[in-house]
Amino acid sequence: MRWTLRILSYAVFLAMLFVLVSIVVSGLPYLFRPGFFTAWPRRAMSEGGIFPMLVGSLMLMALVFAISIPVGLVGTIFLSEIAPRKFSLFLQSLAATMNSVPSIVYGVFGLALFCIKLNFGTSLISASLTLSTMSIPFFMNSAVEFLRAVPKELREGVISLGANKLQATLMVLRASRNGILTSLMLTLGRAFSETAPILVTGAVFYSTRLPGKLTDPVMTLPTSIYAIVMNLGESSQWMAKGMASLMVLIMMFIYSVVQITRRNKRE
Amino acid sequence: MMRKTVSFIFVSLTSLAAVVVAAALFAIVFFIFSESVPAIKEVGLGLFSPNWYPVWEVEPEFGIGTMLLNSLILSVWTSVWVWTIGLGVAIYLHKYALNKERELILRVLEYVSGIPSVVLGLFGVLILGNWFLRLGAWSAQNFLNASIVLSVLTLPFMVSLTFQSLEKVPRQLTEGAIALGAKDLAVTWIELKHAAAGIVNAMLTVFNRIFGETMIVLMVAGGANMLLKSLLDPVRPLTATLGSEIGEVAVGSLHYSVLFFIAFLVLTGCLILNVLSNMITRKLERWIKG
Amino acid sequence: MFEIKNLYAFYNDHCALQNVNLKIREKGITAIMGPSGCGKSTLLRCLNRLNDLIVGFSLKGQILFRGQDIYRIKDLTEYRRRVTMVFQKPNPFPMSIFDNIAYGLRIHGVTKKSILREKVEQALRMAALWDEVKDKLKKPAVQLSGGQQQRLCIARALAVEPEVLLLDEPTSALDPIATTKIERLLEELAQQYTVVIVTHSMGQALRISDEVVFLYEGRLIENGETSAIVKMPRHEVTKQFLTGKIG
Repeated sequence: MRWTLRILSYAVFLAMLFVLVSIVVSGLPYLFRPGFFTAWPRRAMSEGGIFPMLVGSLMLMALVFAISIPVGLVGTIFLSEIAPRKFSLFLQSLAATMNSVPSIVYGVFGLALFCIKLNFGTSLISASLTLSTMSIPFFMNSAVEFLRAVPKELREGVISLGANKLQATLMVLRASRNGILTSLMLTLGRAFSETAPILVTGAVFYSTRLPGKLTDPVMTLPTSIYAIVMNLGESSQWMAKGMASLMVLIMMFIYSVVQITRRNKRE
Repeated sequence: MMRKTVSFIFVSLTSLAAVVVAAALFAIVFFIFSESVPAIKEVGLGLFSPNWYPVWEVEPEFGIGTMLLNSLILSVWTSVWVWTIGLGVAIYLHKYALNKERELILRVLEYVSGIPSVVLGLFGVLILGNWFLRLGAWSAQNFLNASIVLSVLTLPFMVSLTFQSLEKVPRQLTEGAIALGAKDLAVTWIELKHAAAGIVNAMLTVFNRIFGETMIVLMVAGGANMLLKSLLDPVRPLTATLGSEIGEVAVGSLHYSVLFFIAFLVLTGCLILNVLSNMITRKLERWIKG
Repeated sequence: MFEIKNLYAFYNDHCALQNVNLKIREKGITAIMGPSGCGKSTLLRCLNRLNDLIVGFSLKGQILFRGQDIYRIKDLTEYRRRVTMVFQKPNPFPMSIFDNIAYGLRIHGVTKKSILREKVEQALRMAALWDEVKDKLKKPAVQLSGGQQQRLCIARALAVEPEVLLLDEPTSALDPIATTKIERLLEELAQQYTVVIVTHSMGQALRISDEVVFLYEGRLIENGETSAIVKMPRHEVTKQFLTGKIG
């Protein structure tokens, strides 16, 4: 029994390692091409660099951060500290349910609501609102566990000194700040990686300038990878590989930080 | 006194945020359903026919039958593999692995879980696709390819969740079984029963994820709307159709509405699975822990 | 200082305290004792309304502090500044030693650095901790030993200049040496503050308390001056507890 499982596990391990390594390695050399990060793509993306996609993804992330983190944090605080227990559990299961909704459904919803009904069109703002709708439940689900994990002795300690609800909550936030940071990074990481929601609500495959206002469409890393792989020829694939490699490296960085934070917290 | 007003604003603000979040889910269901109503009215049962010819001008057909079937077959097939392999690895990590092994494997799995789905799609098209061609498949993008990539997507999650459920089994239970002279397999069986709630939850979540995944099937499954006959056939699951056509369809047209119907189906499927999972989990937990 | 009238306390349907009538003196040490589960912590926690935090808790009767019904007061946070609590397991906040002590002051509006520094030193001196930590005020409080952490919690409570100090089995998690240090400290503080301490150690109650309150199964059995009760317990149950037959 032990040996079958061992072989199985090693096989899986090696297969996964292969996936990871082959993606990173296939694109790594391109990251060092001069101008990869600073140039615009040319000639149907067979030459040049990924500058606008990089900027686009960053702008999108900044907006998603600005919208979903405050709302998510406040919602989490409500869930954990203020809501009566039954209501809190109900809301939490709602958030968990929202978490399991496929991302394309969010994309379609975003299209219907933000692009069409509210008339924002295919734009940066539509895409970031759609991503935020997806990210807020994800953040809340993750963060609420950390808040709940704060021992009641801490809460009792501050209350017995005369703290009011706000002050007590600040202390709980402070005690769980590592967990909140972890949740934040994971949320942004997920928003960064998602393609389906922004494919239909904000991203374009080629644009000649960077988004100047919120209602402009945007080029992003994941959507450009999709475009190149599906629509363009052999000579452009290098750019997709480079972008893929970059994205995986960024995600690995985020997860490494999360792992280190987790280890620190245990000490 | 200032403290009192700040406190009050604080409480009302947080309540508002939570209400907004709650409203969001209902808004999503409502919107998608309302946009799909025209399709339900005009096409009715024709929606489930196997013929998908939405852009024909004379007599367009909007049958999602084949796509739905393909989606289900793909999801069930892949899930079964992920469930068994995931369970096996999780048991190994829980019972037999050395600490260093466990850490290494879990760390790599965590990194893989962070790979964006579009990048996995790239892997399927460029790297796996080549292998398939070399093996003589007539389409580099096919059912098996999609299945493999979807497994890579969901296996880390399955292993992780199952592993955690097993780790949560109280020591006394395991030791009690061993002390009664139970053999290896029997002890593992007892642990699995205790962890059943978490494991079933993981299994249903995996199925949910696979059924709802878009980018990978869009890129890797091939685009042919034919019912699967061999593993190497290209197929077109529901989500792939949704993802590829929603961007180009005329707003307000019947085609548009049918696509929303697909979205509504996927959404409903996911919600039902969720409710099911919760019910089963709760039943199992009560049965286990009393 | 406190007057407790016909107090009943419930956790959902379970009755934890039945018809307690009691007066707690000003200043000095009052020890609440009894076997496990008799309701001593519940009683203590009623005094600063900490039980309000527990879902399903309810009470009947009255608790008066300096003649005022504590369930009718307007500013609860101010009340809790006057009646502070130290817990069984030391619970230093995740901050530096200085910030721990200063916390109580800051939440009640004191922000000036010079005042904070002065009051923190004062509190630490009163808790007999100053000499041990004066060079490492900025270090995290969790690095202190158990006994030091508990004195830190006492200092933290003293910093807000309360009138009453409630302590819930403050030394049961500590070693004998740390316990002695804290008992000495409490005796000193009792000259200035009203100290109410819950303890399951009869020895401790005998050693340091002026008055003792004896609970059994949620009922007040007897209370009064420690020396008097020990010499002449009036109830059978008290006698049994004192001789160690029940515990």
